[in-house]
Amino acid sequence: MRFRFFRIAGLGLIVALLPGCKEPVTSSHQVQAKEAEEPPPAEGGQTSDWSQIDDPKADGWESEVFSELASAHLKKLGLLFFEEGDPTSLLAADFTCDEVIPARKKPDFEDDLVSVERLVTTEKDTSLEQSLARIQTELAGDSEKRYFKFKIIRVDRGNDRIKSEQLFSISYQTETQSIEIQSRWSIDWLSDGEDLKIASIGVSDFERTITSVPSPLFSDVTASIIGANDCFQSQLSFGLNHWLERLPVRAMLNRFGTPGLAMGDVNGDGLDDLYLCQEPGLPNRLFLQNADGTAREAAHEWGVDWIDDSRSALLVDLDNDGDQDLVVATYGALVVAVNENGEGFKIATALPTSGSTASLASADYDGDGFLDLYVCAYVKNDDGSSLGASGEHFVYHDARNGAPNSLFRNSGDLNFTEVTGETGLTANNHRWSFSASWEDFDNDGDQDLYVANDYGRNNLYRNDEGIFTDIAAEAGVEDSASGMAASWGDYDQDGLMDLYVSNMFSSAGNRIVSQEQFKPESDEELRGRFLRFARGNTLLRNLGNGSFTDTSESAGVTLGRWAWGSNFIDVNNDSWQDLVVANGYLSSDEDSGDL
Amino acid sequence: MIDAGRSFSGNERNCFFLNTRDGQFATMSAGSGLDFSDDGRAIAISDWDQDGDLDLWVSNRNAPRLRLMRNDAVSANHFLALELIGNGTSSNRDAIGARVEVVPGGSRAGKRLVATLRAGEGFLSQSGKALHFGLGKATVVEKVLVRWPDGREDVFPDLVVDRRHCIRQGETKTALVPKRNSVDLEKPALTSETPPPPSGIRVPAVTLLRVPQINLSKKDGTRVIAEGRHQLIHLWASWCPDCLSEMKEFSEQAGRLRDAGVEILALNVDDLGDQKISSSAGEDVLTKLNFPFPSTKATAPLLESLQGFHDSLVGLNRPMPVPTSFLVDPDGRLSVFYKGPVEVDQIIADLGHSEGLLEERMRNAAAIRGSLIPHPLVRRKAREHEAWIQERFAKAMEQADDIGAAIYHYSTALQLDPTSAAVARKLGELHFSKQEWQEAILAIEKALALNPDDANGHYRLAQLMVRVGRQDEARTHFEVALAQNPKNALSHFGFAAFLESAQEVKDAVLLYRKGLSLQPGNHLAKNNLAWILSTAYDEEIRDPKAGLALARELNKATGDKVVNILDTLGAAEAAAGNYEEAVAISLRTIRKAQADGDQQMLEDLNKRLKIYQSKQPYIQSKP
Repeated sequence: MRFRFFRIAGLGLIVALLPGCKEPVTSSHQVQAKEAEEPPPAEGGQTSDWSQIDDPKADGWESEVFSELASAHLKKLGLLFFEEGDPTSLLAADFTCDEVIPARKKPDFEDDLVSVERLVTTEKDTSLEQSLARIQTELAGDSEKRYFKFKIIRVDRGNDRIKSEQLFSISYQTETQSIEIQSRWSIDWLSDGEDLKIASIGVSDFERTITSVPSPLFSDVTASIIGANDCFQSQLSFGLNHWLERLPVRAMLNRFGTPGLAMGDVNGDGLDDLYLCQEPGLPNRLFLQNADGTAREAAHEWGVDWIDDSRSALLVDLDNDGDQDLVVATYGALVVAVNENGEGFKIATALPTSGSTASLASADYDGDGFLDLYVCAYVKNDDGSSLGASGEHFVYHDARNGAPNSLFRNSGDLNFTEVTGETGLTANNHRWSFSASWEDFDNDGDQDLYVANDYGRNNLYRNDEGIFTDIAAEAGVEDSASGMAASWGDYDQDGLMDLYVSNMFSSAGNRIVSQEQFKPESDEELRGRFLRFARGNTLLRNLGNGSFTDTSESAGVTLGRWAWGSNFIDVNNDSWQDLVVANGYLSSDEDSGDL
Repeated sequence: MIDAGRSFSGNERNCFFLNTRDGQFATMSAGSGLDFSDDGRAIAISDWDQDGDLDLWVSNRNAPRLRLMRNDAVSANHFLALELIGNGTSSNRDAIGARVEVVPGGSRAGKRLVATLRAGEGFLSQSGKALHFGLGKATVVEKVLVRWPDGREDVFPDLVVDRRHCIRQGETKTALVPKRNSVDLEKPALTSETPPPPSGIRVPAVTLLRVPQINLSKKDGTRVIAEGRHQLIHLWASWCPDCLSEMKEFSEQAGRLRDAGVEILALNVDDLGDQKISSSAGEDVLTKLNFPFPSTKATAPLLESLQGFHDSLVGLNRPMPVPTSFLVDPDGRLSVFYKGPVEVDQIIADLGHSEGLLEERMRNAAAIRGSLIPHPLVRRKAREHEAWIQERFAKAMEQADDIGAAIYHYSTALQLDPTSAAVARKLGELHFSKQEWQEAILAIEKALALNPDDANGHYRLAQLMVRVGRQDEARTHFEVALAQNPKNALSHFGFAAFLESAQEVKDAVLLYRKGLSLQPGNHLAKNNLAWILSTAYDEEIRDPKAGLALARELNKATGDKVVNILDTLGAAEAAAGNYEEAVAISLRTIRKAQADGDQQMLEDLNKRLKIYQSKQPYIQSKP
């Protein structure tokens, strides 16, 4: 570092100024923001700020104090799977445990690549040392591939004993395999003030996945593909925090760092190209694929190296002339640019939207042969009344003060008309929408629309001859949580499209909401809603009768962590749809914890 | 925490769940190789290299912001890839919305694989357009059924596996897409190390903030830095080598800086922060350099304030480094700031930044060169957004009681978005509070032009017109205010007072009465009404009985101690013929007024006392 930093106490005079981020508000009985799910605000009158997360210790959440201590304790234990050491100091004198790492057994599932063992419970009263040694003797390969994590999801306090439930995951490599284990531990703790000892470990829901290739399924070839372009070093090699030190944050979503991606063949050479959206002050990029698989960046040449706040894009043929046109969702407007002979884009029109746009989804909803455009909008930055998630009317578990989404009908010749109202899509169109996806879920030949919303219920709009009805509740797909992404796929091969929705898994949310102290005045239904928020991702199985059933937990796909994008993908060509989830909220070297 | 760039639910790894065909999925995040902790965001899927398996692009919040993850699965499974082309008339050319069913050979009865061609799914993502079907061990495809977006169906038997086919709507045969030469991409370990950041950070402001005046005074009270100069507020420490070479450069190039209109105000931070050192070190540096610009020690509040401006202008509120410099233009607006050293040439080149229009400032502030979207709607939205940001700053300044800065930011907001009646109105109120009548009138007239139904605006404008002596306009706006909101008691009282002073006392009484029926507790209005009823010149208007009742009630309600009300009560008693009471009350009132030291009031009271002592009521003189 060339220069030194110095720090003075306190914040600046005018810290309450940033757009959409820092409006101080007086909290009422509603939780303020996603991250403020934990903990809920103290009794009225307290001033809070969505970007400042409270210190759980200051708020009387004993479970949070305990969790911090227990996490540190478990971290020490976890290290012993990888390094020799004596666990005795971590354990009570009369320590007992179930088999933490059972010996390998006949797999429950096996194919070319992978084998999976599942155990509902493991053997009782075994030695912890044996389990620790079992991994140590297998260890080989890249030590950077060793990873473990405990997520404490429930804490119950007795008089002298404390019980906790945690998800334990561990992964490592042997000479020829990559191994990862998921299980659930029930721990009895002996507690003497801050001094904790583990009295017993019970193990359930054990799953061990062994990938039998020496190298992972996917390899990162980014540098080979785009490394020769200037922007690879100068722009894409820096994380958002680097840019936030020098660029203004002009809208709430800028800080989340959410670059949208659109793929399509823009120059008609039969190869996929990629458009990448960026935050304000950083140009969007267009990567044209070369015959050798590398890609050349050509956004400036194509007239689309835009530095305006761009959230997402689509490459679609809007005028049916056989090439891919570009739609970019910017702050407050959709920009439609036509493809000019595979050599460049020219702006044809721009369409006004509300507030901060998010995902785009296109389909021909009215069957006139032209693709129409649906755009999600997240926060109503422009009216100043619902800044961040802190507006007066904000209800964390059922927010209805988001920005309205819009449907634009394409009547050909690049003429677009907003038809949100006349198509019935204004119903429940006041949520914090992140993403949308069209699908004919009821196989009646038209395109229905699912919308994933943050802070509450999602929408399923059934299309009946161009008029939409929100049937999310009756279809059982409200999935009231922190919806981030929606994708469709037939995971059970019954010919019906099922739905996967990204949400936010929160161990702290699980811990806190499961306590009596959490909103003691609220009823079970409300507590259930909050717990549901913390559960994580959702898989909804299409039953074919217009409704869906939630199979997330039996399918084992809830723990997508703090999930953003997710998609169905068959990675091994076995014809079965797998799932990939991108996640992590904000990472940096200074860690302030997890939800 | 987020502002400060710390982690929160960070360092979480991407997940991969493998379908184990029994309704369950196995967690295979590590084995997939996708488990980066990049704060992953959007995922776009396609067989990028067309080698028969699906690859994925992932965008991230962290570095690298984009990854292509190539699928290296070694598998005996087969696949089928389909490129669909709609007829471009009844179905869109891209065939978005087409549903495809594939029946692999040799599979269980009724098994079919379904997929829909979509544009937009997941989060902020659009995947590639070729539909990709894994076929497992099947080596033949019995049938492919395509239901096009217009509902028509085409069926194609016996497609070759492990190939890409092109299917055009309405054609009876599919076409094989020529096999692509195999793509050989190395997989260099992509280091997560980012290149070293440049040594200094230059931040040209998009939003120009008015900073408080920082200046020094000479012994005779004149300012060290004259009006109309650019100021570079320069934070430096004697322990910082970069600062020393920079101070040296400033000294050597003082002539150039001055000629360009720049003065430097060097603020030494030796005493502040966690690097405190002896207080003479800074002085020594300045003496040795014979530093030609004004300098002083920074104070903690000043530094906090500057940190606040920094935090307001960039997205990450980390403590400023030393050196940091703020370039403030002659209008007192923060134009550019520099974290780390800055060269004199750069400062001079930046002097015009704040003069640029919003678009120029946006271009100038971009970290990497790019274009603004050349469409009027996008530009208008950007201006409206900037207006909204300006409005927020204005509100914050108002809360911080810096009305001058608040007025500046509201005015800027109004220039950017001249359609906001609320901002114009607010601006008018602030000018009003500063007694800047003409400016207030202009702003409120503008607000009313945008929103003519704003009764309160008309009322405020009426008050302003009274203050500048434009009586006719005042009357008009009072009337409009009343007409638009007949339930507003204050408009009644305000108009009544106006009419009273215009000697239209009869109408004033009516309005006071009507207003009081809406807001019976208004003491001021009651007092005025009681006064008129007791002292009006016009006998028709005078109603001593009602005046006395009102004055007594009011005086009781206000605790028998308010001079103005007691004065009214005295006049009311006299008007009703109760001279002794009137004299007694007057004497008490005079004692109170003496205590208050209000000479004009005393004079009036004494005058009236004499009238009551001569057993006469007090009657206002003839208009």
